[in-house]
Amino acid sequence: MATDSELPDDFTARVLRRTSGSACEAAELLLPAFVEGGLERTERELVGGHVRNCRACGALAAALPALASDLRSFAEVAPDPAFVDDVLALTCDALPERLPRDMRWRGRLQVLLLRPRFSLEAAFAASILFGLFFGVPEPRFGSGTYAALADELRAGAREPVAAVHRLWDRAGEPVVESLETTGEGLLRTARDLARSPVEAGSPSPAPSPHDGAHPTDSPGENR
Amino acid sequence: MELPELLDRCRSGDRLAWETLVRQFQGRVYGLARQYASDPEEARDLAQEAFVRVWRSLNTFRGHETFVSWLLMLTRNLCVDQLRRKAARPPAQDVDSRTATGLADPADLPDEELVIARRRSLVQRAIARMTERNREVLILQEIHGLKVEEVASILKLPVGTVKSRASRARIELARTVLELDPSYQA
Repeated sequence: MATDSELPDDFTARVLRRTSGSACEAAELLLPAFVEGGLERTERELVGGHVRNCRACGALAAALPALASDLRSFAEVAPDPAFVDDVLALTCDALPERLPRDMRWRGRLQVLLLRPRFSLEAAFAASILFGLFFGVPEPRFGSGTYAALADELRAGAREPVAAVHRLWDRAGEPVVESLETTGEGLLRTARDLARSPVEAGSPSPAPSPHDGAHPTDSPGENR
Repeated sequence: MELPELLDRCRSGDRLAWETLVRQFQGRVYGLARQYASDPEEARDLAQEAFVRVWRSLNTFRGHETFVSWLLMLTRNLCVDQLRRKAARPPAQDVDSRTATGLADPADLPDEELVIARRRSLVQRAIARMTERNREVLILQEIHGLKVEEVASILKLPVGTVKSRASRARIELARTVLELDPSYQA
């Protein structure tokens, strides 16, 4: 009866090549877990048997623990001694010192309040709030109101031209009178302003010594 | 001082606490940047920039347990962005051993340190030859000791994918090291 010692060393490998193919690929996937002892008993025995008989996988299995140790030494690499100083110069020295949170908020609020547009925005926001809480005021034209005008429009929606005429009869005349009064007032004010320097006897500007001179007399002006 | 207290002090603008934090983690940040950058000066700049970003983002970070992974993620993203800008990959060719490991001239080292320096150089060259996808997993998980879930979060990959890649990465590295030096072992 033949024993294993009488078989050539690569007998199993030859059989595998002609049947299932090499088992190295399957063993390699399990080698890291095998080295760490993370395999179940059956798998451990199978991989162990392969590793004992396969020189390449045996070398890999021997190298893996050594590599794990060597790799950990790469985790920390000390930079040059000036590194920390450079980082501090880029952070603490370059940036303003960090203030407590309440002071930061106060500062942000101040910046917000000191913006040139703040008064305009505040007035706008206040108007909206006023309108929301107290309603929009309705200006009156003579005896009518905007609400009455809206009612007229709704009522005359089928005959728009007639509705506009009726509205003009009710609201147009007071508007024209108001505009005329305002226009006359503006004209009076403009006339008064035009007359006021002369009537107040304000002296006319003193004649300049160059008033009578020809523009070209000044050598610098003609260039 | 515990890390949460240190971080609180940094948030309130304590410069001494910030200096302590930088000193405590400079090796980790620079070590990670060295794995991505092609030369030490570039790695130094990236590590500096990482700390500047940490300083600016301290208020947005919550939870001290994951500070290291947050720090490494920030550094890694910075390195990857830089590499993309340069349209380059991490060193994919042999690099000078002294440049790669930051070691002095081997001739000046005692015997024991010389052996360690040679091993580090060998492993560094093997890492540089790895495929990019396996290398990243190896760097984050095997070198920096992040958990599988943390690596998956940083690389935006499923946990199962990270596990299988980590296994393949270790085999790829071991095979490459043995190709470079068949006598490599513990």
